[in-house]
Amino acid sequence: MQHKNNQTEPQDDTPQPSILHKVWNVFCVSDKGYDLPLNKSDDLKLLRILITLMSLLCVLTLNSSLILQDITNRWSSGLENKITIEISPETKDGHILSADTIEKESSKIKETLQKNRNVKTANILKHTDIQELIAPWIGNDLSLSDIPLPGLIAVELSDYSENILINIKRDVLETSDYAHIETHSEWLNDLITLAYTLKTLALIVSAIIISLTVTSIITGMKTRMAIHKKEIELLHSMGAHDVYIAKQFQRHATQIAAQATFVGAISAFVILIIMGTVAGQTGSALLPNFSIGTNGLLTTLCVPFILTALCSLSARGTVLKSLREIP
Amino acid sequence: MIKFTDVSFRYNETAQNVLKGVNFALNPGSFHFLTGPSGAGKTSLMKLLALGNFPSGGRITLLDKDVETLDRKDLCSLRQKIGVVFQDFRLLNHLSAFDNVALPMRIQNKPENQIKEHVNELLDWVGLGEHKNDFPPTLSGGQQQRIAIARAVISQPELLLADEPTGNLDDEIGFRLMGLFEQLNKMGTTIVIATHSTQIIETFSHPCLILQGGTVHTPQKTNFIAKKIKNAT
Repeated sequence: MQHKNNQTEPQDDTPQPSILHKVWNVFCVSDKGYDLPLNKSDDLKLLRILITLMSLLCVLTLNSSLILQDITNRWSSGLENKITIEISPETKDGHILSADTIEKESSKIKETLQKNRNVKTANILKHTDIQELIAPWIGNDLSLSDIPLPGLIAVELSDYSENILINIKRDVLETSDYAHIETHSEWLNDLITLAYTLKTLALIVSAIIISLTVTSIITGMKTRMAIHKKEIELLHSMGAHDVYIAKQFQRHATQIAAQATFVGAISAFVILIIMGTVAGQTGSALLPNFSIGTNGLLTTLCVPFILTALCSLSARGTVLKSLREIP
Repeated sequence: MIKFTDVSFRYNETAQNVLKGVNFALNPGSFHFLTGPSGAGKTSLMKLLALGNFPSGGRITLLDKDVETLDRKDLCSLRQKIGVVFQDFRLLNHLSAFDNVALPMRIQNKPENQIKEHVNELLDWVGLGEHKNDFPPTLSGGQQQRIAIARAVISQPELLLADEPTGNLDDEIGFRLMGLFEQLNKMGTTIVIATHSTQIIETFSHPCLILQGGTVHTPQKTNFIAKKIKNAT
C-alpha cells in the first residue's frame, strides 16, 4: 500500500509510441486505451457505413466538378481566338452549290484572309476532317457522296477584338456571297455557363455531404454520451478534466472516420477508373474525359484526411460543449 | 479541514430543500460515520462532499478551499484529492480489475510504470492480487467492493467518502472492509462513511453525523444508538 509520505516516484522509462504506431492506432479500432466502452455501441456499423457512403459521394462529386472544370477549360482554350467560316452547300434561294464551287469559294476566301495581318492561320478543312466532326451525330458509316457537305475554313487570329472581327467579316462577305462567319462565342458561352452551373452544383452537393458527415458524427457522439452518462459522471467524479474525456470521444470518432472515409475514397477511385474505362471504350466524342488527373488524385487523397479531421474536431467540440453542462 | 456553513440543497428550483441549515466541521485525519433514516439526505450530502453537486445556499469549504470560488479546472484538481466508494461500486465492466483500479492514476496522467507498481501493490493489499486480470462481472460482490475501495484510494486521497460500503455485503466481509478503512485513516486520510448499520457504528469508535429532517446533528453516539435500539424494540 502506498503511503502519503512516500515522495519518491520512479522515473518514467515507458517507451513512447512512435509516429507510425500512433498512425496505426488510428486505424486499429479496439477497446484498448478507452475508459469508456465506446466501441461497443450498437450503431457503430451504421455510422461507419454512413460515413463511407458520404466519403464516396464526396470524392465523386468533387471529381465531377474537376471534370467539368477541365471540359470548360478545353472548350475555352480550344476555341480561343478561333473562328470558322462556312460556305453552306445550300444558297438562300434554295439552290445547291456544287463541290467545285464550294472549293473555289473556299480558296478565294482563304486568299483574302491570308492578306489580313490579324489572321495567323487559315486552313480549309478536308472532307475527311468534316466527316470526323459530324461523325458523333450521323455515324462513321455514311458515304460522303450521300449528303452535300459545307466548305469549312478554320481561322486562327493573332488577336481578337470586335473591330478585327468586323473587318474580317466585311472582307469575307465582299469576297463571297455564300460565306457565313461562326465566332462560336454564343453557344460556347451557353455551354460554359452550363458547365459552370453544374460545377457549382457539384461543389454545393459536396458541401452538403461534408455537413451531413459532420452532423452524423455529432449525433453519434451525442448518442454515445447519453448511453455512457454514468461512466462519464464516474470519470468526472475522479477528477477527469473535460479534455481527458473529450479526447476519448475524439479518438473514437477519428478511428471511425479514418476507416470509413478511406474505404469510401478508394471505392470512389475504383468507380472513377471503371467509368473512365467504359467511357473510353464507347469512343463517343460527346462523353467527357473521365480519367483522373493529378488534381483528381489529390482530391481523392485529400477528402479522407479533410473529412477525418472535421469529424475529429466536431466530436471533440461536441463533447466539450456537452461536458460543460455537467457541474 | 471540511466545513459546511448553513448549507442548503435542492435538486431543482421548484423542488423542496433536501438539506437545510447544515453546519459541521471535520478535522483532517478524522473518521466519521454519516447516518440517519432513509430519505434524510445522506446521499445528497455525500454528493456535496464529493463535488458531484453544488449547494443551493450556504458555504462549503473542502480541504481548505472555498468550493464556490473554484473554477472548473480547480474543481477537477480538488476532485482528484477525494476518493469515493459508491454503494453500487460503479466499476467499469469492460475493464479488468487492474484497469479499474488504475483509472484515477491514468486520469492524473501518471507514468505507466508507476501505475503498474502501485496498482499491483494495492490489489495485493485488498487481497485481489490474483484477480487483477479478471473483469468485474466475474467477481463476487465482496471482491467488487474491494476493487472499488482500491480504486478510491489509489491516488492517495485526502478525503475518502464511502456510501453504504457494507450495504450489499455479509457481516464478515463488511467488518473486514471496515478494517481497511481504519488502516487508511491511520495513514492520515479523512474518512466519511454513510451507513445505516448500527452494528458498524457501535463496533467502531468513531463520531457520528446524524442527518434528520435535512439537518445534521452531532449528538453523543451512545445516545443515538440507544435511541435506535429503543425505536427498534
